[in-house]
Amino acid sequence: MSLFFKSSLDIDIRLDNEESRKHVEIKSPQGRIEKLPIYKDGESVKGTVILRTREGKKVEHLGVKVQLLGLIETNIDGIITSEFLSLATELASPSQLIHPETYPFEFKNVEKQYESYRGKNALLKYSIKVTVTKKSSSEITKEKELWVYTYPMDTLSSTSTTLNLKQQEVSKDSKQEKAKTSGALGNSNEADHVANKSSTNKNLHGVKMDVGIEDCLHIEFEYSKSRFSLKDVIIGKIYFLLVRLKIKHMELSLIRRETVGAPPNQVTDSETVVRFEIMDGAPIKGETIPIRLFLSGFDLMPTYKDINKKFSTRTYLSLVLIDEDARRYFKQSEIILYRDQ
Amino acid sequence: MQLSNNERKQILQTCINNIKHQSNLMKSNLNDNKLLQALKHCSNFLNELRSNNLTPKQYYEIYMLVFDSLGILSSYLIGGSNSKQSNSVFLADLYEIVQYSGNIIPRLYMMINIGTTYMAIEGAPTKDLMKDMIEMCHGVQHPIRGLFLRYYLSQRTKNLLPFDNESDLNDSVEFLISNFIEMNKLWVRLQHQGHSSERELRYKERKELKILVGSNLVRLSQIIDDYTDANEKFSSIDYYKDKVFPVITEQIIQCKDHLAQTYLIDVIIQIFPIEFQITTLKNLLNDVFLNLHPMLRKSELIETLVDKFINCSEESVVEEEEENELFNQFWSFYLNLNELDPTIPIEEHSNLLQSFINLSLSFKNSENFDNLNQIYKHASENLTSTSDSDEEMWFNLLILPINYFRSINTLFKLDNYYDFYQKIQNNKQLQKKISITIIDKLLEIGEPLKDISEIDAIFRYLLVLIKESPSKLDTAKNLGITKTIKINNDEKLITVEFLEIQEKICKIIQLIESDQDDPSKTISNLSYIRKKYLNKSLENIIYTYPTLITKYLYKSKILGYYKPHDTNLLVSNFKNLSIIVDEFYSNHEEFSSSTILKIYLNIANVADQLKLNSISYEIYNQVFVIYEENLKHSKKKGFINPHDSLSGGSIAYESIILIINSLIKTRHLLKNQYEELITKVTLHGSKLLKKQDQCRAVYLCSNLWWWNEILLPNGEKPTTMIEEEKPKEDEKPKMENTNQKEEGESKNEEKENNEEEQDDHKDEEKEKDVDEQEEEEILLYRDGKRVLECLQKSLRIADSCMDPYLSLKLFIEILNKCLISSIYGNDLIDYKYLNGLIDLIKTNIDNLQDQQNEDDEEVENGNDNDEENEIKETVLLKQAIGYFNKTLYYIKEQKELEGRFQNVNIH
Amino acid sequence: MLTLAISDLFIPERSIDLPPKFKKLLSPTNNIPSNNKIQNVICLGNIINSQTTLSWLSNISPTFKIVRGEYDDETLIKQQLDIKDVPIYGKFQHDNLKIGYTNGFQIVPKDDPLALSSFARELDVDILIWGGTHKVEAYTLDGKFFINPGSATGAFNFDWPEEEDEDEDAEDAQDEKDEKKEKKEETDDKEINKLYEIEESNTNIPSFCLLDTQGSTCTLYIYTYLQNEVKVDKITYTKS
Repeated sequence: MSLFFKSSLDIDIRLDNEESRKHVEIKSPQGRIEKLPIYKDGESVKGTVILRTREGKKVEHLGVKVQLLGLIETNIDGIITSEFLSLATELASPSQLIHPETYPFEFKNVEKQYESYRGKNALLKYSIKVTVTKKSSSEITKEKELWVYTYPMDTLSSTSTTLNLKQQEVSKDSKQEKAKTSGALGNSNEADHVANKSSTNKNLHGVKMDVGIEDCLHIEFEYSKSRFSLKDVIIGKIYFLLVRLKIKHMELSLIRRETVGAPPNQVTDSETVVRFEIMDGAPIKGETIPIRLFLSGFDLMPTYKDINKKFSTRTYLSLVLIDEDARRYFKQSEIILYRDQ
Repeated sequence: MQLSNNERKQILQTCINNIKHQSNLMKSNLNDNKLLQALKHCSNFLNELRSNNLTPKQYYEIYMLVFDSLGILSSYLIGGSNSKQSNSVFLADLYEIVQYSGNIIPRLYMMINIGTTYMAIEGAPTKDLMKDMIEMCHGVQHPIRGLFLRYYLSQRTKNLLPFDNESDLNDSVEFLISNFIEMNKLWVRLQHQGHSSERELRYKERKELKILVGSNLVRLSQIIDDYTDANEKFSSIDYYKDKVFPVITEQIIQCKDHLAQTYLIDVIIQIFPIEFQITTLKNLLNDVFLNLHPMLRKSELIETLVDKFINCSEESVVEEEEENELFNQFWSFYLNLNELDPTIPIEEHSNLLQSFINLSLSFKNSENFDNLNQIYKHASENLTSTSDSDEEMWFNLLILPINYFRSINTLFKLDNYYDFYQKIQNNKQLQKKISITIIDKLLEIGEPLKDISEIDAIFRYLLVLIKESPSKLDTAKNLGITKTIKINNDEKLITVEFLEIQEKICKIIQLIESDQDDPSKTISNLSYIRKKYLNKSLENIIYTYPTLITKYLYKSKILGYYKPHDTNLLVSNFKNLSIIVDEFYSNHEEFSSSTILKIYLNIANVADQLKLNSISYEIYNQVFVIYEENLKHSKKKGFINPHDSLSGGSIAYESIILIINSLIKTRHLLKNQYEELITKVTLHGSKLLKKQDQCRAVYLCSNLWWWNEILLPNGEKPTTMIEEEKPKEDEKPKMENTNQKEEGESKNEEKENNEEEQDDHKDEEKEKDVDEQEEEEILLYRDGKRVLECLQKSLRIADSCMDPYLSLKLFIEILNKCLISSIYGNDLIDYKYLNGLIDLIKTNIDNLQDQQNEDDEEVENGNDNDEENEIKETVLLKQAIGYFNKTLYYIKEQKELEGRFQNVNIH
Repeated sequence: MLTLAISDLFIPERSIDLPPKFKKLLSPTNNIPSNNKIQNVICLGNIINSQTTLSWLSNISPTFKIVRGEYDDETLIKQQLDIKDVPIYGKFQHDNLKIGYTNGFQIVPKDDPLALSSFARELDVDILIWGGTHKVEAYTLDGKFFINPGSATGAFNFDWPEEEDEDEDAEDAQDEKDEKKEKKEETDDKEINKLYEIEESNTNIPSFCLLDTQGSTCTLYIYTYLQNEVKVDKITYTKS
């Protein structure tokens, strides 16, 4: 930053209608809150660049360009940055600056394939970069970060067929999950009791699953769907078909899992975003427990799959039973989150 | 895990402190309109309700605190409304916001609080809210926390449930029933929490929580009651029958829990109106009761149900014609129950039958005893007692209807009652209690017993009291516990209870009458009970015969006045009466002679009144027999002051007085009979043991020779002085008279000589009197000389006393007697005689005063051994002088006021 | 001071109980004492041996005095009441009035006014209460006041019947019966009527007395029970 103060030139990037544009508040790792303007996929990025010399000095340059950049930063063994988008426009040919100059620019209908993202080991960001090339082959640059939201094409008309597919995915995942005994919840020492006979019922409207521990517990749970917009509500039910455990309470958690890199060189980070108690006490056979979890109040993000083959962020819904001896039994299944208008 | 009470208390206190603290923070936030922060504090205090470590009672305590604090929040939310619409949106948002709460308990409490606040606003999606809240409550499966949460829901929605139309009603009812079902499940589940050793504790805790469950049913009943439908076809009874009753009873049956079934059935019976109960009665009895927990005591539920019917019997919900049908429903349930479970404990049978009896007794048709008969028939045929306690249960069944008896007729109609009563015949104590209760009731009714069938109907219950009441006390068993009374010269102990039973039997005897009050029929009824019942225990007739005889005599008196000419009937009546008295006397001669003497005197007087002189005479002779056999030598216990003429004296002396007073009242004895009897009594009087008794008896006898108009009943014409008239009776009694006379004469020989001399004068005197009396048509027996003789005799006896003070006292008594004789017109007691007597008394007083003065000097000389004696004598003398002066004052008064005793010297 | 004089109950020998209205009047409460206006109860005997009646009587007022009647069993009463002695007469003084009481069976002739007067003289009392006759009465003689409260139960007794005209009526009826045998029904009515009259004349009216004594004056209230109604009469006596 000190560079700018030494610089003899002030670069100011102004986006059109910036004040009225929606912003997102992002908390930086340092705890600072940044307010960034939000752009959608395919939206033009339009603005002006203003160059001003300091204290009336004369500045010579070899040209001014503006770029729209999209890059991914991952941290596995070290930080690797890769660019997936780079558009550039020449704003001025080499000349001398005495008075402030204003250059409008516009990137028309830019395809912004990915959403902006700041995860633990991965980061995806968009920015407008202005470069003033000087004789000494030195450059004066200014970057302004944009925040990008993408909305899936089919959100408004999510058809039943897609839903169906998703369900299959979920159930496949859940089969994989059952081998994973110790997941995000550290103290789940008895989780291997969940050697179960889970099966999946395909249902047009929702997800229904059968889970159990032989002669000990048998539950069936049902969510209305497996794909949720971020403003959505998870609605479901849990049927207790056999209860021989002394259950103390039951929770629903939302776990976000970030995967960076590709095996074997892969880093995974899990974070429980939501913990939500849905049952207090032990039910008896035949009881049905309702599930309702409003999502919009939580800090969730859409499901990102294999973003530019660099990273993925998925969200899992985990049903956790805690018994009187504080043993935890859980069942995870992925849910697909997407951003909604 | 197990916490001590102290630990629990500490935890409770911490909870309370936290709630108060957080609640205060919430309040101040609300004051500053910082709603979100307020909600956070709200959530904080709600977290205390997640506690695991409190007893239900303690939990209730913090629940109440929380309840109030939540109330503050909802008041704020209602009060803060700007416009209806904005408030509605605001509350809808808030309803969602609070659902982010991570813990379910605070989340649901806040939801319900806000949801119900929302419901109170016009245009709110009430039904959706109801459905949502009740659905979400499923999340709390912990019994206590769940119960309280749902209770909170129930309390909060209490006045908000819609019932404007039938659809509303359906939804509200469904809501309440659903909450009820869930709460019941939780409540039942509580029983199985914790270690099995805590089962009793759990049971106790559950009992404390029962009202929470029941409150739903209460509200359910209210809402059905409050609902009015525009549609006339709507019937709340049918609604209950079709939509409510089946669902709730199904739940109650299905839960299979003893406590829940007991309590909830009770609630259903209590809270739903009687009309509803009638409609569902058949189902309740046969579909519900028969399917309840096998160990559950149906009798308690039946009792509640029956009590409900009984309490409502005033309201005429069951018409008289329907009463039998109602009973039959219960009865067929009972038979079904028997069939279903032949091993029902005897106590259960007893309790059930007890309820059925109570039900029947509450019926308006109080003369219908068919149902009771059915019960007693069944009971006497099917119940068998195996122990004493069983018999006590039978006792309970028997005792119940007695209070409902309205007439003797009841006992006739209840023919199976007696059969059942006989089932406890081995337990005489219980039988007696029943019998006593029956007696008490009959006495309360006070209806006369008119014929033998009525008498039998009652006396068969009295028989146990007559026969099985040994007067002898079981000392080993009762001594020191029961209050006892000594009788027969302290030789025998009886209990107060025994006496009370005898008293009751006597009172029943008082009820015996006859159709149209025919006295002769009443008499034959009295004879009947004697023979058939009373003399079944001769030992106890002493307690009942006086009553029987007295009543018999009274009826004989009535009969005598009613049929004065039917002499044969009257005579045979008295003969039968004598047989009864004889039986009494021969069995209880030793200790009851005095009583029998009085009985005889009464009989003699009645016979005299009825002009049956030979009977009367005969009875008087019997009196003397008793006197001589048993009373002559008997003494009164304890000290009798010889100077006291006002008390009685020995039993012998009192007997003489009673005889005198009886004879004084006679008016129809033949003259010779009368004279013989009065001579005899005077003679007996003069032979009493003590001088003072002799003296007094003789001066009192003087009255027998001088009848006085005042004592004569108006219009009565005495026949004693009419010797010309033939006696009304046959020859036979006459002969008896002759015999008696001879006997009397032989005794007369013992008389003193001067008395014999007097006999001659008597005849003259009598003739003179007869002449006088004929004109007035009332002939009084008067013989002044004989009177004088008696007084003279008594004076002699008085004079012969060794105790000069007693002599003096007796002299003054005789003076008083003489004054009366004089006033009543006996010329022989004239002023000279009286003056002589007064002088005699004065002389005696002077002598005694002199003597006392001398004695006083002796005392002063140091002879103090007799001091006490001296003082006593001084008192006696003083008393005598006082009495004498009063007598003189009386004479003075009479002189002044009445002009009597003019020549009597009183100075 | 209010004193109740009550006599000749004859329970159970000749009656079942007092008229309920009397009982209610005399013991309005269930407390002990059951009547807070009456200070003194005097029973003139012939109560016979009803334990319940004895307890009831003795619980009316703070003091209860009983004398023995002709038909009373002294041994029983002593034990039933837990007292040492059942005397034949008694005496007490209130203000200026000396009051004596006795059943009177030992007085010869019983009920004779002069004999009673003589008794009062010897006892040295201004008022004499006596019983035994079942007929309520009160009169002044020789400057003294004589009170007989009658029978509280209206128990029958065996004295001469009250009404004197009955005999003639009865004979008239008898004559009529002989003459008109064909008119049987009418005669039956008359028969019943006659029987009724005979019973009437041999029945006593339930009664008791209350003595209100103050200074030298005794106001006597006579309570009688006729046709289910309680009647009260008042007589005043002042000692000269």
